[in-house]
Amino acid sequence: MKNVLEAKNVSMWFGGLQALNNVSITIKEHEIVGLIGPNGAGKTTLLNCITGFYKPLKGKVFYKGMEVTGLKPHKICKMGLTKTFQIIRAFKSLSVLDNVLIGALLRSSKMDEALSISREAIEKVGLRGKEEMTAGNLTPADQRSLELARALATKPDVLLLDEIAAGLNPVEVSGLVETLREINREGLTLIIVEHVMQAIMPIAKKIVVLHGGRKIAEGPPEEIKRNERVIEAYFGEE
Amino acid sequence: MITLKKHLSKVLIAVMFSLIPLYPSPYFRRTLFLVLYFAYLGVAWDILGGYTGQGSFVHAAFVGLGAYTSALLFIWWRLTPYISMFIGVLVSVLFAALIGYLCFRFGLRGHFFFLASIAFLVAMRYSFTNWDLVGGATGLIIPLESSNPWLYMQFEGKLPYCYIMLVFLLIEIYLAEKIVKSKLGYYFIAIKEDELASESLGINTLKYKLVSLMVSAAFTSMAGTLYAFFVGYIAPETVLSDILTVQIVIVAVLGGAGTIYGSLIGAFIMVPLMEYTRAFLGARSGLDLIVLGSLIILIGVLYPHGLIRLLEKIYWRLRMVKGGRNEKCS
Repeated sequence: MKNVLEAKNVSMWFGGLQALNNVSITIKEHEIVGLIGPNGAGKTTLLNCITGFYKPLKGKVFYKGMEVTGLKPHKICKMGLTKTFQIIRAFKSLSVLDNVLIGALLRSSKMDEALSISREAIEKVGLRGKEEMTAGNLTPADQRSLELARALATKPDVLLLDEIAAGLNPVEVSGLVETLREINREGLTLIIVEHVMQAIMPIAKKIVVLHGGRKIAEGPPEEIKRNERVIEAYFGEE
Repeated sequence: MITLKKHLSKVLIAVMFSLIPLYPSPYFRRTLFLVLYFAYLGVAWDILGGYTGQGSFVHAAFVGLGAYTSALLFIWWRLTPYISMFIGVLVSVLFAALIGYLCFRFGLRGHFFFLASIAFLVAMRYSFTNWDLVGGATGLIIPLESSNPWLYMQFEGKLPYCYIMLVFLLIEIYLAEKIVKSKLGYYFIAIKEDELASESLGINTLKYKLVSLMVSAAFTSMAGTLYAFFVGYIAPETVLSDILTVQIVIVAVLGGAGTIYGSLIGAFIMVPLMEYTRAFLGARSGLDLIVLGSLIILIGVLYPHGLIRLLEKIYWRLRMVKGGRNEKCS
């Protein structure tokens, strides 16, 4: 399979704090990759460097063979690479349908076409019947789904999900995992940031572990579970 | 059926409006012109301030640019305002693009954009005050040209101006509704709601903020031209003043920002209030402003989302009483 996304030696500082130190990752087409690590490991920073919200101070990002380092997020999104946010960022005073419609308008300026793209995305994440509800009145789980639907409406090839299961109960998490599997089956490459390992292990084919801004491990879930450096990072040294 | 009903009510309202100016009092007509003028300015401001969420204080500058461009072109070459207003639009849009780029490119938003926009207005006002070509502090008088009133937009009474302003207002509302229901409008609202999320959905926030500012400036500029020919005299004090901007913002925000029609309500209530408090209480200097200020505070406290909420409430009340149906009550 082809490499769809590649970050090479990415480093990022905030003032004196080094958030990312020489991190390289390679993502293949149609993969589900889990990006895990303790709080402050640099997971969100890495996503932001890839999607253009930050410009990495060192290193390069390639998407489908083109360099996208430092491009604006909206340009990268138009190329088919986008992310959802760790903190819920639904357009809270708009209806569910309008939220998703704004995403869909990227691919079609015609209202009826954009509307049908939106309804399809809403259906996919299981929000059907809630189209007219105000986003701010949804449960946190539904707001997460809404963000997913909104991102899907921009028709991405690669979707980066930042702690999309945060604040969800186990039932909601398993529902979400099913949705993500389905989306992946349709051809999307997914990169899922989680710090709860249980949520990501069942679906990811590959796990990348960050700790203190460095990549400390990479491989299939079973291997990662046994990796001593990972255990150390999560539970501390003996 | 529903659409027919909707349009019918709009037509009825338009007809009603067009009868109002016939009331034969010059002062009443002058006030009415100002109502329509401020409603028009409020709607224009609302596109940027209400829909895109970029509250601006610079809008009087666009009024001024429209007014000055048309006045100068008339004084130099007797160019009809119907053409010169578009040249004014061009000037205003260029100026909007310049200040918009300077502000938005470097991430000024919210209160900081508001503050920066004040600076641009004040700078423009003082440069016009000290610029002899545009009449300096004394301003410009538009010479009388009675040979062809329609061509030169110079009428004896105020009545024709009211109708011209009304037509412009109706066209503006029509276009503004088109805009807010299109992709452009959705993108404006998305930017107001959350800029980062908008970027992640492929919205070029810089570009669309600039577009919003330029559209708003274009509409605003036309009102400047109309005002110049209505009054026949313009000066930095009248068309480039901070007071003018304050009035525009009051009309739009107290009426209900982000609603288009809020500005109509705002203008119909605020402008007569401003005019008549001055007429009746102006003798004791300052009293009118105290009354007006108190009313503004009162409206702001009672209806922070604008007077349009009050009308909506009354509307739903009436519907519930009349039909007895279980309508959704907001």
